[in-house]
Amino acid sequence: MPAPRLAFLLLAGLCLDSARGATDRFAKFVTNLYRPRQAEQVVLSPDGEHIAFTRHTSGEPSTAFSPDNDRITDYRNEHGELSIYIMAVGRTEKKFKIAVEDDRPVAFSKEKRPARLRFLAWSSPTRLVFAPTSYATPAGTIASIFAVNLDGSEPKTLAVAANFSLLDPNANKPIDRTTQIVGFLRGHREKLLVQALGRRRFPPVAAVPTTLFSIDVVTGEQKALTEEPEFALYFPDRTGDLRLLYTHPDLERTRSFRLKTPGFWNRWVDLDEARGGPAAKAFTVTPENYFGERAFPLGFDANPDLLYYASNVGRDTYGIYALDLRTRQRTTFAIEDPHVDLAFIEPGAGSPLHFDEHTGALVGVRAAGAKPVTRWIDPELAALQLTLDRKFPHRNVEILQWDQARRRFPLRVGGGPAPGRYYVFQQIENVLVELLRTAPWLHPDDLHPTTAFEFDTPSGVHLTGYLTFPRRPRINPPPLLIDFSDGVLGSAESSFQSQAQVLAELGFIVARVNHRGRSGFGLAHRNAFRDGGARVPVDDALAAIKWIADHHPIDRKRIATFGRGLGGYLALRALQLEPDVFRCAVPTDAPLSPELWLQPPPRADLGRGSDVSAALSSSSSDSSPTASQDGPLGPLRRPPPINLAQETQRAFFLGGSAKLTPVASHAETLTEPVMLILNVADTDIIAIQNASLRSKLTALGHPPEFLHVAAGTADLPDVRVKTFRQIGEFFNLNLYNFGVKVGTPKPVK
Amino acid sequence: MNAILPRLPVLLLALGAGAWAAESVPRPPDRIIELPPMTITDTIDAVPWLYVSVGDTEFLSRCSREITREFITTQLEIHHTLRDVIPPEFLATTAIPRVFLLLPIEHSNIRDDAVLRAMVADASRPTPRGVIPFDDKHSKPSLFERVLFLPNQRLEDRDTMAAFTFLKESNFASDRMIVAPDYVRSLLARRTPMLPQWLIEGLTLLYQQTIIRAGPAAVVPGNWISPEDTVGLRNSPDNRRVLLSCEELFAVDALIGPDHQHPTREIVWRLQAALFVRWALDHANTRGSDVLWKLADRVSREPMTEKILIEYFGLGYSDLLERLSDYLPNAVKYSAGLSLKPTPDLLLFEITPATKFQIARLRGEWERLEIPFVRAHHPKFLPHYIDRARLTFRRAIALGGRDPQFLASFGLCELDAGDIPAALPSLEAAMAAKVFRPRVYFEVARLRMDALARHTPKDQQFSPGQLQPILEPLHTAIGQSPPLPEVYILAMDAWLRCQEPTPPGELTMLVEAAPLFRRHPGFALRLALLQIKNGQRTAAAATLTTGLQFLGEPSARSRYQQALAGLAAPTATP
Repeated sequence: MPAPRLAFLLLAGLCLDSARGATDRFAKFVTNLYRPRQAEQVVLSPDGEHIAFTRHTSGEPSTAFSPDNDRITDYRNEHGELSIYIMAVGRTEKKFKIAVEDDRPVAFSKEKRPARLRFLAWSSPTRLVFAPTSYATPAGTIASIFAVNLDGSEPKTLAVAANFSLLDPNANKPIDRTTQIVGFLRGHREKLLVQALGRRRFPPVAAVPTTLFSIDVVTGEQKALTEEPEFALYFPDRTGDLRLLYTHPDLERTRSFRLKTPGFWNRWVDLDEARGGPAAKAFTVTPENYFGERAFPLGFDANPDLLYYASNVGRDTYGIYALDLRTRQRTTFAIEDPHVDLAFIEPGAGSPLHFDEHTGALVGVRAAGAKPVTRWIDPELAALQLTLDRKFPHRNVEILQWDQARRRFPLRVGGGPAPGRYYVFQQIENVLVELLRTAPWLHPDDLHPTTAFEFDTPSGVHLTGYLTFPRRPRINPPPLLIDFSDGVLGSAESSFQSQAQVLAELGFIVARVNHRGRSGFGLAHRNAFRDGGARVPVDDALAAIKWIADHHPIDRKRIATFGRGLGGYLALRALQLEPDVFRCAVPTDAPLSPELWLQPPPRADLGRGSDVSAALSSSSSDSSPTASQDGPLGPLRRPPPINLAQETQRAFFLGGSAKLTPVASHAETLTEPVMLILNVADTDIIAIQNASLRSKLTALGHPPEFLHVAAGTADLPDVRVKTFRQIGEFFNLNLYNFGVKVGTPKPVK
Repeated sequence: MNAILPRLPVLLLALGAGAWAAESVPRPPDRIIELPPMTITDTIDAVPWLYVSVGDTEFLSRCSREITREFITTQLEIHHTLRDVIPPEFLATTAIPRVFLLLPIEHSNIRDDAVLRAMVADASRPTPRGVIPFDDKHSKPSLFERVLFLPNQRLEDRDTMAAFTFLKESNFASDRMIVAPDYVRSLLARRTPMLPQWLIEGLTLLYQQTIIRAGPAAVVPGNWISPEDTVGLRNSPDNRRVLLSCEELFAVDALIGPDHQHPTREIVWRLQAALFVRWALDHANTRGSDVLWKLADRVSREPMTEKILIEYFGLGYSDLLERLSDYLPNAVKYSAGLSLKPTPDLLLFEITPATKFQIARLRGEWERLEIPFVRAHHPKFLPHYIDRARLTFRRAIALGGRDPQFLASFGLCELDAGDIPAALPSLEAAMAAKVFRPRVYFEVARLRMDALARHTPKDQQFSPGQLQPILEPLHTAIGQSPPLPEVYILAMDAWLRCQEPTPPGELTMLVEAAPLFRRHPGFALRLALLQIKNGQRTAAAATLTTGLQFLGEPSARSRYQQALAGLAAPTATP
């Protein structure tokens, strides 16, 4: 039998060579995919003449603030830095660059992590306000806010962390407070509202209060507008008043929203009490209703008596409504979608409300879903959206902003093979001005095309998702990889995903399915998992495989699974439940026994992008909404100070009729190759569960591949390349290997 | 005369330099009157006229034999390379030879003061009713000073073309000759099936940027919408890029309608059309230039769609926009090489002394083409041009000139001069002599149709016998080149007024001609009306629907939509 053996060796050699021989190319491809994108934030000046955007640069001359704020100095950073560029829109003019911050050091690593902005806005046609994300150093918290004119004049450090700290009388030392930049005071763009968030402390020590500050962006003068002593998450209205709070009690499983009633004593009343109607208790949050039917506030209108809220009471998906606080009645305002939740499940986690920054009026609602769309209330913008959609077929066009005269509209255009581009639509001239590409280093010819798909399964489930096709498949037809991504409760997939690009580079058609159990598609879609367990997403994956095979050539003998967190659990369960369909699995940080994982000590994170993790992050920091880069091994978040998130997960996962079968309890059914990847500490329950599975599989005679990445380093470029390369080698040996018996393909049920 | 000379373009342009000259020469003061050359006087009869017939052009030259040879050789070369850059099947062809008059500027007076004085004197007489007066009483300089005879000009008729060039023999440099862009545009615009406007503009501009006579053929770095944008893009690919969406770039109404007519948009559209053509011809980007030509052929018959683009380039409109945007900084910074086929041996030609009839026919043809131009632009000077043309023809007639082409030219001259009774005999004589000149047949048919329909109600129907004298010359014209849409339209108008149904063969012939004139606003509408008249309502709806896809002009679209609505309405039952 020399011939088959020779064939195998040659093929394996080719595949490995293609992975190794392309070392530089592959490393460059992966690194480029995960490079910080340009223009994570883009803002148009109120007169529409200039645009400011962020960019990571290295070694380019720029302008930097001198320590005394009095002058601009020439500056050149060879090691990578976050910069802001200011450029003219209506004419070609030299760009002005402001160096904001060096890339940040990472513990125990030579590599650095890029700095990001948390706030960027024009306070006037000529003055720009910006603030990098805050972070803690041994010397203290860094949380500065700056302002500068567009020509670099009048630089000003508006505030530093010390401006928001309080003196602890007990310990006689300052208490730093995390800050959240709210925006400009309505009608006064020169006043920046900053909320210094309070903190829980155990009795008898009083909680650290929450204070709302106003900062003059020209003089830097800072003024406390209002302060609330109770620990909670506060929502200011546009007049600079902390009008609404989201309670965070220590010892109760119930949270509520309270509204400040006008009067001398500022009495706080429960929002349920402030609202009449049949669903009067909809605003109360419990672990049991968190993923069920309820309502939560989104924010105030320019009219401070009008509160917008999201609700799925009596319906499948979250719609958006308004409450007149004077009459305590719901208004006629209602925006609903039968298939997509129009709001994230946690207040503050990326509001879908889109206000006109010049008039303060609500003009639209941004919905995620399979394809992000904006439901414009403003008819002019609705018409413009239609016009722009025609200009960019097969793309997602997002109108980001507009100038006061509504002549110029910055657009983010995504959904193509590359991450996206920014344009300004000039309405008078009826032309597009392309200002920048988010990743100019990625050439469309190098990227793997991605298309959206949707179909109804025979059982009537509407499934959506994305397919990424390899430009250079290693075999034809190419193998298929089902990426369960973050798994259950994760939010909708986005069209461009770096990880899907890397997996396609390895030769796969990559399918990312918004399977049941994911959030954003209504109650029934999410809660199907509660009663069906892992079988439900696996069935959805099978339906997707059938649909894909009906429409595209795929190698039905070579289908792999992939996933992170609970997505990793699903990847393994798919292998166990359908060994005739799936050939191998690569789970990352998979909780192999979810029930145990959900037991104390609390383990909150369900994967990046999940609603719960968003909820936690929103209550603990002011991280940039664009800060979450996709990746296979992103860092897990630290446990939150309270356990409601833990309780909501427990209520969701354990409250249904499905049993979450531990992977290891049926280890003998894992007969196909597995690669376990961990990015957590050895003591983490996930690491312990993975170690147990490794032992069992080794004892059964088919030890898994194993890769342990030091906790918190998975997003460093070198580590990421190394990880993907090892994943590629695993597939080379276990999927592309023609010497391995692949079994007889069977029709998918 | 010395005052005029500096205005002569340094670069000599082949066939149709007039427009170029108008663009390139510094604009004279306001209200300068640019007249066609009118300098062929008999004062220099001592210099012989030379005649050359080569390829599709007849030359009449008063330059030296050497300069004439060099000029014509260069003409053949540059026209060959034009067809190398743009395949000949995309350029209009005609079976009627073009006319080229070449005069040495040293021996001529491009501003014949005596002639001009007479013309100005006539033009300054009291204005008859209906003629636009010159408001020159209080203006400076005087009318006499404001008149300028163009040194180069190209004039077109429906089925032919003529050009006139003054040449300075002492410093003539043939390597500076190019095919005039407006001539390239004209060749593209007259091609049948008709090409979309974006392709015409794109190819014309690209040809302007192409160097084909010094070293390897290449497209030089282009410019973008302003000097600042061009320099900015050359200095940094991160410069702003002003663009149109590809849906708009390829749209039939790209520049039609109030939202589409901003000057910035117009210039972006033109430059982006050229950018697309350049990108498509650049082998680094696509699968070869053949793809563009296949697409061009397709979109001459079908409206451009995203599906067609994907079929040929594998890219959707949004993808293409991104590719063009990424290509733009390169296009303004670097040259792009073109792989042209080696130049074959040029056609041989012989220079002979021109006969009196050749001189009269070619001069007469040029002078007759001046008449519509002067009527349109400077009607005050028209009588002199008419007189001049008539004089040229009548001298030759007196000498016994009866050549069919000569008769055709003379008949068309009288027709353009407005003297139908004088025109008709010559036109009919030319027709009887089976002249190859579609316009002659069309004009005779038109005049016969006018005569038949005169003094009859608009809805008067005619018998086939009555229409036969009209249709017969039209059939002859249809068999000749170039195909003229008005010939078909007149035939359809005739059949629309016929008492009898249109013969199937005739209708089929008209239907088959429709793809040639998809972008002609009246063609499909007439055809649909004829189909309706013959009971082919479904076919008529299809004709209108297809025609609508090629139309951008709102009023034309409205007429088509009305006709479609009429078809959709239930037919009245008797």
